[in-house]
Amino acid sequence: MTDKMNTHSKIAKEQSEVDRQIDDNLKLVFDQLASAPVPDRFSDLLNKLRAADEGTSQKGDDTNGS
Amino acid sequence: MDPKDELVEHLGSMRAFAMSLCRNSATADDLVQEALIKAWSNIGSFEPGSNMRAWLFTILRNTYYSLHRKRKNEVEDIDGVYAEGLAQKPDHDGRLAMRDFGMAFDKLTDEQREALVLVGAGGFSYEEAAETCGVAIGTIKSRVNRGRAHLTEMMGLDKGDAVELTDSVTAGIVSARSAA
Repeated sequence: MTDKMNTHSKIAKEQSEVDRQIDDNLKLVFDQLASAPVPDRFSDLLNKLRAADEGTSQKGDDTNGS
Repeated sequence: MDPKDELVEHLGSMRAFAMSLCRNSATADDLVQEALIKAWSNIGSFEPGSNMRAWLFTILRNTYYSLHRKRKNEVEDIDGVYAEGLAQKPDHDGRLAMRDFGMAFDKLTDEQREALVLVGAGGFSYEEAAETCGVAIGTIKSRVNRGRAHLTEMMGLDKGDAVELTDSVTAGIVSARSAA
């Protein structure tokens, strides 16, 4: 009985260790993808969006009320 | 502070999440671009002080699934961001081949993959992931568990085996598919 319980908890522990390692590896890949240099097209896009905002909606800026 | 100014800080993680959904870096960047435009024009629906990354990921995945549904009958163009570059890794007896990890990851369902990436890699709580995916917390938990179980099974990974992924291999994955 005690042996059986030990085996069960050992298996559960080993499974959670596998899970942890899977997560670690996913995290490693994700973080490295996330910290890769962002192509210029995105900063260009943000600049264009900003410029379009400033060009068209001067009146909508004051949204805080008074 | 204008929340629009914060968008730039999330571009990296948006790209990583998009790549995990599309598994193709060119498609992923197109997806990020589209989501970014949506985020910009709907910035009013972002609650200041709330989790911007979760908000952006929600937009990203909604955009992905609406495009994906349109393209469902087309041939999938997957270059396996997570699998590419892993082939250089030599197989070790009794050790997981890293190539298999990437290939197994690519074989998960979209739902399992995104749940695993959000919770396992992105550090989202189950609650945040559930909200991002528009499903119940229990659904996310079961997707995460099934995703992990499938990975373990597909890789023939015995419990207790090490999943060995070195920095150099990971660097290979990234350099293989990311724009330099």
